[in-house]
Amino acid sequence: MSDTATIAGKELRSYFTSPVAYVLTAAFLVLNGIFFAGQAIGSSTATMDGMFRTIPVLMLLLAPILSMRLIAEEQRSGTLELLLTSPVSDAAVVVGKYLAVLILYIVMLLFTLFYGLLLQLYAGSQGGPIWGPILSSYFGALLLGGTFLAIGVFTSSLTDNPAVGAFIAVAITLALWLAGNFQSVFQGAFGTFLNQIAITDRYYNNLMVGVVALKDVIYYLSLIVIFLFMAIQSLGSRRWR
Amino acid sequence: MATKPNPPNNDQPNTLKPTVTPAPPPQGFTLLALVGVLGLLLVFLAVGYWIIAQDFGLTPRLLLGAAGLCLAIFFWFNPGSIGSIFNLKGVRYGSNTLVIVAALIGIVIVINLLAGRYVLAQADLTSNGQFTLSDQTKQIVQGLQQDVSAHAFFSSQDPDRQAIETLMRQYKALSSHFSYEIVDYRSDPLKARDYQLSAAETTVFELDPQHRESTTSVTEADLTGTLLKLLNPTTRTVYFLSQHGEHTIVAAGDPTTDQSSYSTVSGSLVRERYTTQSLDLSKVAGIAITGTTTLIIAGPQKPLSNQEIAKINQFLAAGGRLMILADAPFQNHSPQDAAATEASLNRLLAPYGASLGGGIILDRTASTAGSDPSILQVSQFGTSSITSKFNNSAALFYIADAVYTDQPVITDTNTTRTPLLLSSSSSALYTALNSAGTALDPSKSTPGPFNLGASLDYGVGGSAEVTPGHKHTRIVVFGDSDFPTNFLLTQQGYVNSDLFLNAVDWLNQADQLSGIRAKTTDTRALTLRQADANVIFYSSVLVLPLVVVLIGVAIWWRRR
Repeated sequence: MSDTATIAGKELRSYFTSPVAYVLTAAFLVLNGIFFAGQAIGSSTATMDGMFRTIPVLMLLLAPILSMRLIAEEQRSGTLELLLTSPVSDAAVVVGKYLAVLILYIVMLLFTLFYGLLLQLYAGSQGGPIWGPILSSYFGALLLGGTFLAIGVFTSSLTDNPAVGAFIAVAITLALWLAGNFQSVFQGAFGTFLNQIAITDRYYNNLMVGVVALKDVIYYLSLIVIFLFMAIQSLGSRRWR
Repeated sequence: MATKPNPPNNDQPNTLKPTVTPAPPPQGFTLLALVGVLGLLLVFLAVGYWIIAQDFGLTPRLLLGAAGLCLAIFFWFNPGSIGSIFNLKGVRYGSNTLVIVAALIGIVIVINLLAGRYVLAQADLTSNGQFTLSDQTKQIVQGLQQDVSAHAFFSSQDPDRQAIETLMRQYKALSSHFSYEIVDYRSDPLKARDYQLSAAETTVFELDPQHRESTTSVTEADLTGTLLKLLNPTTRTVYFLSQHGEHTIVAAGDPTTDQSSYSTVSGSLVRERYTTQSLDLSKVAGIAITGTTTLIIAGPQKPLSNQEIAKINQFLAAGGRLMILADAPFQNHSPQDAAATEASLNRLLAPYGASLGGGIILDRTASTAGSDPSILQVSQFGTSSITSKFNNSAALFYIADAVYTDQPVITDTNTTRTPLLLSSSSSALYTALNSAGTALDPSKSTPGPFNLGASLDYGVGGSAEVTPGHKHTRIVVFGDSDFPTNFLLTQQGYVNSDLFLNAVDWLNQADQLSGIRAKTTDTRALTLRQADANVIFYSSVLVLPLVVVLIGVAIWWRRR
């Protein structure tokens, strides 16, 4: 556990001592701000829907950028060999790096609470924004983003080229995203299966409208576990490849 | 210049060895590899066909047979490949990894399938429990005394299949008398034919083969409404009075262009299993009552004749139900018609202790804010079941009159009068124009608040005659006929439609559905001046990201 925390701390320090975290966070906030303000002002309703609808698209691009260097860079620079020969388990390496990038993402999301405060300020006389769906949307954004980041960590472990890792991450995420669209192409159980694994349809949408269903949470946690597990296996495979 | 070939160097030992050239692959090797690859390809094709077509028929079997033959030929003529495969270190470890990962994915898929089917636990964080079954539905389903089965005919490709399954699971969890099945009408067309389906995505509730009710909607209100109809099969008819300039129930063309029509709410009534039709009272001897029957007088511009009033009184005495939606007198182009119309409506209401205010209600704060003072945002509701679910909501009224409910009751004291909604304390009732007839006279105004609607229950709980010759009846009166029009229903976030439909349900004593229908999306308005909008935009898009950049620069500066 302490190994995981140590690795997570080291990764976080490297994020926050380089301009990457600040530039990406600022870009994340500019884009979210545009969609939040556009929706709230345009519809004259105290809502953060504009932002939460944008987050999946943003994270489709941002998650691979945030996670692409995590393992691939270590492979390229040769430090991964040191890490693997040190008395640290593969799981601690993968989970530690994943936690670091997840915390960075949570920090990004925390900044957007400012939008909620604005709504409370200006819609206070109408009872303020409805916080229930906003909080469940945050939870959804965390689960969805967490899943995208787990995919990024996995693909980063496959190659020593961060760009290739990011490209594969986008491909996998897109495939999971668009799976539901092929339901009409494939009849029967396989079509239903594709619809079931679609990453934003239903699951994220449920959370966005204010419904936190245990089955949706299980779905996202399952994907996170699968991709982190595959990342651990991918890292372990270096010992016998 | 020709170069001579170097003579052989005899000092060096003759190290020439016979040249070892790799033996050319046997002629059949390439062909053998191709056979092996073809075998693998055929395996993938067979499995792919099986998954996609959902059919393990002749085609995938033939493909698998051919694949088996190809692979058998490959391994027969190249037996060493089997041993080498299992002796390779990478393949061995790789296989282990693949098996472990596949096992994990399999376990996770099973967990998710089970969770999707059996895990109902969910938290509904919406302010009005929008995604939780209403108390009314719970009460109806939990109160089932006989077995009811629901047959939902949805194919795997229907977009609402998930929604209907989720709802049906929730219904089933409430009662052991309720069961359901999801039938894929594409794979089981015979069953669909047995139930005489006229449309796809239909849910049929069934007590027995002779007693079935169906709906194509997947909303809780419609499903519960269909279930109620199965349990209580009564006919409910709603007549809309015509020939006095009332709002019509059929839009002239597109409902969005015919803004004064009631076609939208009329359509909602039909979906809730009411029969709606226009009624010209001058052409009928009286209003027939079948099941429960309601007459709606929606914004007449001309007075009702004495004969018509007599027919309506007769109808009410026989247990008919009445809804009056009156307009403020100044909305009518003819002052004479306006006064006469209001007088005729008051004659209908007088026996039940209600009357119209004879003026127009204006909101004085609206005037100061620059908006139309005759548009009333009404957010104070009474305690009736018609409005009990409207907390934190508002209705939109336009050019409204007041409704008085404190008039002396002429016939008896059996009437319960309940205010439905109130104008704000900043409103005032203007009852006359100035001497020039060009504007409302402030000196003839009375400060509010005023009732904008009321429900009158004559002989509460009485099933037979309350007084000799007069059965139990119900009346709802509103001081505005515009609120259920197509135009005002397009204004988002108001409960106008629910107010009208709940009132019809109350009249028909079908108010079990009111609490279900009222669960619309709760939205909070954001009233912004341009300066406020600028603050929101620039602080979100510029200031917040800039703060992050400045933090980054500060850290970089310190580290430098």
